[in-house]
Amino acid sequence: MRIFKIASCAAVVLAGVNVLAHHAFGAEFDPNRPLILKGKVTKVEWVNPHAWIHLEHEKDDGTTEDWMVEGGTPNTLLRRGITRDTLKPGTKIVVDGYQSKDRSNRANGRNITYDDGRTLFMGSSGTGAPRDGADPTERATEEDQERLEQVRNAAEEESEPESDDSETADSTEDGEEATEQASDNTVED
Amino acid sequence: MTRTRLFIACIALTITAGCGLDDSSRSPEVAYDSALTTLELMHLVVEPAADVLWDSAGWIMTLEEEYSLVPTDDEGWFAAESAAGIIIESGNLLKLPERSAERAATWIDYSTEMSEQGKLAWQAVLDRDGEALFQVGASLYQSCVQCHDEYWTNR
Repeated sequence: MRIFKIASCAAVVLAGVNVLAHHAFGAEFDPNRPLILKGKVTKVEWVNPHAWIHLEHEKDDGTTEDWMVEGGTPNTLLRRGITRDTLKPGTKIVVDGYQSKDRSNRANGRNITYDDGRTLFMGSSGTGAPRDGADPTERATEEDQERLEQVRNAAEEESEPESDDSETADSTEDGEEATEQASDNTVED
Repeated sequence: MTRTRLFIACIALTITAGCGLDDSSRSPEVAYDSALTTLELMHLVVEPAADVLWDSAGWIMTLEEEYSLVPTDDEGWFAAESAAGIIIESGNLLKLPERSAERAATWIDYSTEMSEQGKLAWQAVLDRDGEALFQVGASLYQSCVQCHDEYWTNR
């Protein structure tokens, strides 16, 4: 229940986000479900209109989970320094982004960080994704950053051990897990 | 005699031309059946065709192999050619009065651009040029985004 409340609150806060394009962010992804995925690239679909990176996400308990992350068009990735060569299957990466609305293991990627510490924007511009400062072509306003901060804080709060909240009926296992991933906002090198 | 024949020929041409101007293509009563909304046209006609074009170029890389999506047989190329044709003509469908009358002039520009991108895709298919088709896939998407930025704001 609590996670539902947080998501609802954040949804209201982010209601002003425009959804503008084909395969628009808001049609498929949830701005209130930020997450961080880290692991080995297993497959890359270098295709239009969006490249897709599949990776084996390493969970804290040592198990892995298959995820697929949507990126920008291959040409825009190339312009930002993300090439087919630097995305070869087997490459270890960290990706931060937003989970799909249907709670499947799909996400919209924002930043990709390589083992050498390079962090590059891998998302699409102008698709209605939250203005979180990841897209160098957008300037996140203070208001945008505040909104994002609220969402992330809410997610972080949710991941902490609860002692006085008995409203857990609507919390789903996958929802808790995604929130836990989102609570770690620092991309590790 | 020659002048008389020339005069008669001119009269005949004038009459014929006049009849030509009176054909039905000039009639304002032409009825277009635009039963589909613009959104449905996009969803049922344009998007599937664009998807065929996008899926006809690019690369898939896995831990085991890497392969190209460019068609390898006539059937695959025909599918891409057909999709290019649909994109070209869809630009015209968007210009039908029922779909364009209430829009700004940029609607026509974007519709024209869609057809232009379709023609580039068609040429790439005729040339059997997978790289060109891949590049057109990117520019086609950009033309989609530009139009959606202006006209698809209520989703």
